Amino acid sequence: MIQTIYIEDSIREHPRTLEICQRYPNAALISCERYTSVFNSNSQNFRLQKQQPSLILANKHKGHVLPTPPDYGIGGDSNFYFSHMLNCVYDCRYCFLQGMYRSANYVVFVNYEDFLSEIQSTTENTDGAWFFSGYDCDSLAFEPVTGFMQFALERFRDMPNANLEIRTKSTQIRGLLSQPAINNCVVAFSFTPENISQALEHKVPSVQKRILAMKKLQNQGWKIGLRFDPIIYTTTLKSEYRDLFSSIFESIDPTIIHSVSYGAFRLPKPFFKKMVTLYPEEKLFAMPLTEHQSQVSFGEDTEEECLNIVHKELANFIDENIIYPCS
Amino acid sequence: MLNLVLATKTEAEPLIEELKLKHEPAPFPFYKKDQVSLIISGIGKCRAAAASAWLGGLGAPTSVNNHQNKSGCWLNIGIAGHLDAAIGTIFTAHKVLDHGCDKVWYPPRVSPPLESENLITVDKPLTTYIPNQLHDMEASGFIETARMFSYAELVQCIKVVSDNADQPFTKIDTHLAGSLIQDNLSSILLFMDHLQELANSLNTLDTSISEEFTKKWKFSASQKVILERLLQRYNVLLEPMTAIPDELSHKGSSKDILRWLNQSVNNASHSI
Ligand code: SF4
Repeated sequence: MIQTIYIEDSIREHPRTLEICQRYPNAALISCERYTSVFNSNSQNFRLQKQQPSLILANKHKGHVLPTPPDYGIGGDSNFYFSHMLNCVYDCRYCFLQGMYRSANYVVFVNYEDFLSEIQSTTENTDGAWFFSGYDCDSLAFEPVTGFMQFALERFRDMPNANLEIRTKSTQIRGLLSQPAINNCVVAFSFTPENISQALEHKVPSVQKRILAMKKLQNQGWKIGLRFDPIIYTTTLKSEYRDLFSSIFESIDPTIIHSVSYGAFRLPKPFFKKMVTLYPEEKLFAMPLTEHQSQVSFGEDTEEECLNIVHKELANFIDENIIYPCS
Repeated sequence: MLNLVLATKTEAEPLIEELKLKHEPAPFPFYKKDQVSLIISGIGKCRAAAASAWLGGLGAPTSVNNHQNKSGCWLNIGIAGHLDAAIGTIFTAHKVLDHGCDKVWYPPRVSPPLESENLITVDKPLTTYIPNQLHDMEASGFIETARMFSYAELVQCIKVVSDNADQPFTKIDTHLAGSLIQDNLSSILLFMDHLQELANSLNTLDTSISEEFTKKWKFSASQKVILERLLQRYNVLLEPMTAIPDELSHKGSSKDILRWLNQSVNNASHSI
């Protein structure tokens, strides 16, 4: 439960601010001039804040839509991402947000209209652009509070030339199920095998619950994507992924999956260093990882072995044309 | 480690007594017992900053583990004015504004929270009260300095309302200040316990054995950092190291030690 809400002065009376604050009648409301003075201030400890994150309501002035890093995508030529929210209600130990941000507080930008109008203008200059949500947060986990996706989907319905990926580990799909599926939207669920998920993906719904959510969405006509990123090396990786894929494809129809992508565990070195300081007792970080070109990983050979296994196991179920390795 | 910074002796006395702190010679009136230190800064933000800096200097790092360096708790406790809060009401500060330079800090609210309020630090008592603000003379100097030594979550201000528009400030009634702290002592002690629990949640690995290593072999500053991390990994992947393993006793140099530790952790089981 949110106990503290910081509110930027400029959006104090914004209808979404009022609506969100109403959900937390006992929260302390604290005004701030700019969200950055709370979110980016020195000496914060991400791990301590994660025990009781606060909510920061803010206005995003620029950079609502940004190009993705090269090679990020699922086959499209023009790829962009946007983040109506910074940080996540889940607590995956491998999550790069822990290394990127000083604060674990959730920032929600309430000026949704500005995101959508920038998406619209970006679409006008490109042919079939992809817009990825879930880069700096989980797209759906906080949806009951923000209602952002509900708002965005209504607009995407009228922009058939723009494609939306909603990336999530959440089962908050009520909003999606309450409306007909739209053709230019993919709901992409992320998975690691059950044992990895239990060890590293704290507060994330179980693999089975996510599979069930996917099934419901697929039955209602929503396009489903599968994301296996990061792949974490274990000595029993092959059987873990074999079991995971069996569970998934027992429940959902592999022939109508939109896309599948996979990628190895990698972190930029400065992020990794910070994450080790926050969680020195984490087994994942204690394993023999290597550094190469400012990236920390399991090393080229192990990585290749893992990726080959996952690709091979996937190919038992999925058409190779829709499998995208992430680099 | 718990560091308490108070402006006056009268405010400090209930805590000195309750925590059985003993006076120690120092540039400021200073009291200590085990892991608790209390310093009486005198009135004003400069004195609060100076006292906090002196206290922070006492806790110089003994280990390269960042959390051990930075996980001390810091509390500024004292009285404050408020337009309309009842005298004796206790608050933590969730926003501290320095009236002189307009600098702002947002001490994170830690749960279970006391009621919290904005706080404005003034250079001299104001003639009127600003609504929805505690008014004090130390917090901004304290917070800016204490945050150099600890995490923002562990640096907090607790204020008890001593005057309001109905009973305005005329001059400091030293007796009143002491009895207001005394009346709220149980809430203050509870908050201290909670803050210390929070700090303890960061210290998850005991690598104090590193001191044995650095006594026995000569490590450079960068080697000490590597040693600390290797000992952490050893703890996680193998077992907590409580004594230097026998097979290391004949090793000649710090390089040999680091190599051995590195091999040990790399040969350990690597499944999550
Ligand atoms: S669900 Fe995604 S964004 Fe959230 S903590 Fe996990 S990896 Fe990070």
